Amino acid sequence: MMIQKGKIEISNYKNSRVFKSGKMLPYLFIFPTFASLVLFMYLPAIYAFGISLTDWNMGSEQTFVFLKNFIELFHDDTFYISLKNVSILSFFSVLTNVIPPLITAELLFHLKNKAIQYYYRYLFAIPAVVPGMVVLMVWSYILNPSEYVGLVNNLMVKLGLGQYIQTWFGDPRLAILSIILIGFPWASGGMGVGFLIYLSALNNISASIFESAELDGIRWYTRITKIDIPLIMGQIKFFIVLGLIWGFQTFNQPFVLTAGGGPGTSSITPVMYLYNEAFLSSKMGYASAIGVIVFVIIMIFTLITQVLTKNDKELQ
Amino acid sequence: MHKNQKVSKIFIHIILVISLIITLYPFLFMITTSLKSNAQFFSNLVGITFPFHFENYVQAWDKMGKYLLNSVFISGVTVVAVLFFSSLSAYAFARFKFKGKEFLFLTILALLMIPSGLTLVPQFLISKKILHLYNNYAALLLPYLAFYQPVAIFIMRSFIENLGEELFEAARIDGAKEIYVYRKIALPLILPIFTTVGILTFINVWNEFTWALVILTSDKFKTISFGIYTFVQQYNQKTIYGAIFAGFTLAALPVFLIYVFAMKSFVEGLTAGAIKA
Repeated sequence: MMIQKGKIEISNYKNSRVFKSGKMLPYLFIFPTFASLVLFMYLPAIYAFGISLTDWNMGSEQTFVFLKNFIELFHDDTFYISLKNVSILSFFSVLTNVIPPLITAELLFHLKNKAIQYYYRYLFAIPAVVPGMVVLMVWSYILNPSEYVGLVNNLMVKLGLGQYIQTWFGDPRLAILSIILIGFPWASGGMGVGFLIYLSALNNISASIFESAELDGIRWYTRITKIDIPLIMGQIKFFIVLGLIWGFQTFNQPFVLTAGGGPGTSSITPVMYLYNEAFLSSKMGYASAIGVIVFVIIMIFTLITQVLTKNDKELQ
Repeated sequence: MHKNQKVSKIFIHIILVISLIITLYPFLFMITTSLKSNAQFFSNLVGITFPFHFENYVQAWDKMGKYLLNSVFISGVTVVAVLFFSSLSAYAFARFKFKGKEFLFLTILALLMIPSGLTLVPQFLISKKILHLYNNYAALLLPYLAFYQPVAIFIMRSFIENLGEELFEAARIDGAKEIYVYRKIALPLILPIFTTVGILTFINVWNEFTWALVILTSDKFKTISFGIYTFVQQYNQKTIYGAIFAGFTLAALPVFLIYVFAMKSFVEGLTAGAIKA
C-alpha cells in the first residue's frame, strides 16, 4: 500500500514538473562534471589529432600538411633517441617499482606484531607525501657534481673512492642512470605506496593456503615464488602497466634535472621533445604529432597487456 | 624451529631498518641542511650541525611564501570544487538508472588512460587562444577541476555503491525529492570518503607542475612546485644553501602535516582500495 501510494505521488510529481523530473535529474547531476571534462579533456584529445595534421607555428596561418609531420618524425634522429631513452627509463622504472617494494611488503608481511608493522608502514609511506618536485630537487643536490655540495660525491671522497666521482646529471653516459637512481633504494614503490598495496594483497590471501604450505614443509623461497607471487599477480601487473605508461611519459625529470634532455640529447624523452618543439620552437603541429605517436604507442601497449592478462585469467 | 624464527625475525628487522634509513635519509638531509649556514654546510655535508640557523626559513619564506600561499589557495579551492561536483556525478552513477549510464562512465574511465603528452599542446591552445585563460588563477582552477574529477568519481562511486540501498529507498518512497535525498542522507554517509579523496586531490594539485609551467608566466600566480623550480633556477649559485633547503622543507610541510593528522584514514582508504585492484 505504502509503495503504491509512493509511486503515484512520484508519477504526479513527474508529470507536473517535467524539467525537475526523475528522468532528467541524473543528467543534471553529471552535467557540471562533463562540461569541464569535455572542455579540458575530450576536446583537447580530439584537437590533438587535428593539430598534428597542420604546420601551425602560433602565427595566424594554419595550413593542413596532412602526414608531413609524421613523415618528418619518421626520419627524426632526436625522436628515435628519445624513444630509446624513454624505453630504458621505463624498463628500469618498472623494475624499481615492482621488485624492491615487493621485498618490503614480504618482509613486513612476516612481522606478526601489528603495532610494529604499523610504524614501518607509516614511515615507509612518507616519500609518498613529499612533493615530487621537492624530491627531484633534493636528489639534484645528492647527485651534484661538486664534491663539496653533492652528497654522493662527497661520501665517495671521504671513503677514499675519490677517483670514482661523477658529474651524474651532467654526464651524457650517466644522465639516464642518474634519473633511474632517484628514490634509491626504491623500497616504497609505485607512487610511494606500492609496498602498501602489495602488503594488503598478501594479507588477503587466505591463511589456510599458508597453513597447508607449512604442513607440506616448503621453504620460504619456494613459498614466495609458487604461492605469494602468483596470488598477487593482479597487483603486480597493475604496477607493471602503470610503470610503463607513466614511464613512457617522463617529462619532469629531464626538464628539471638535465636542462631539457641534456647534455645534448642523452636524456631526452618524447614528451620532453614535445615540450621543446611546442614551447621553445612554437612548432605546434610537429609537437602534436609527437603526442599522437606517444598516445598510439601507449594504447598498443595497453591492448597487448589486456590480451595477455585475459589469457592468464582463463588459465586460473 | 623456534631459534630459526627468532633469527629470521632479527634479520627482517635489520633489512627493514637499513632500507628505511636509506629511504628517509634524503628527507633528513633536506631538514638538516635547511638549518645550516654555508660554513656548516661545507664543513659537514652529511651530518647534523649545531647551532641551528632558523633564519634560513625566514629567508625562504621571503622568497617562496607567495608560492606557498598560491598553492594553498589553488589546492583548497580545487579540492572543494572537485569534491562537490564529483560527489554529484558519483552519486548519479551509483544510484540512478539512466540511459547511457554505462557508456558515460566508461568514457570517464577512458580519460584516465589518455596520456598527458597527447593533450598538453591542445589544452594549452584551447585554454589560451579560445578561452583566454592564461597566466591567472582561473587558468589553473578550471582545468584542475577537470583533471582531478575522474579519479575522484571512480573512488566515490565504488564507495557509494557499497552503501545500503534501504536508506535511500525509504526516503524515496516517502516522496522525498532527489536533491533532498542527496543532501540529507547521501552526503553525511559519503563524508568519510571525502577525507580520502580530498587528501588525494589536495596532494595531486599541490604537486602539479607541468600544467602550471605551461600556462603561467607571472611570478605572482605560481604554485609551489613551479615556484621551487623557478627559485632554484634563479638563486642556485647566489644564495645560502640552507635557505634553499628551507624552501624545500616548507614546500613539503603542509602535505606532510595533513599526512600526520589524517594518516589513519588515508592509509586505510588506500589499502581498502587495493582489495578491489
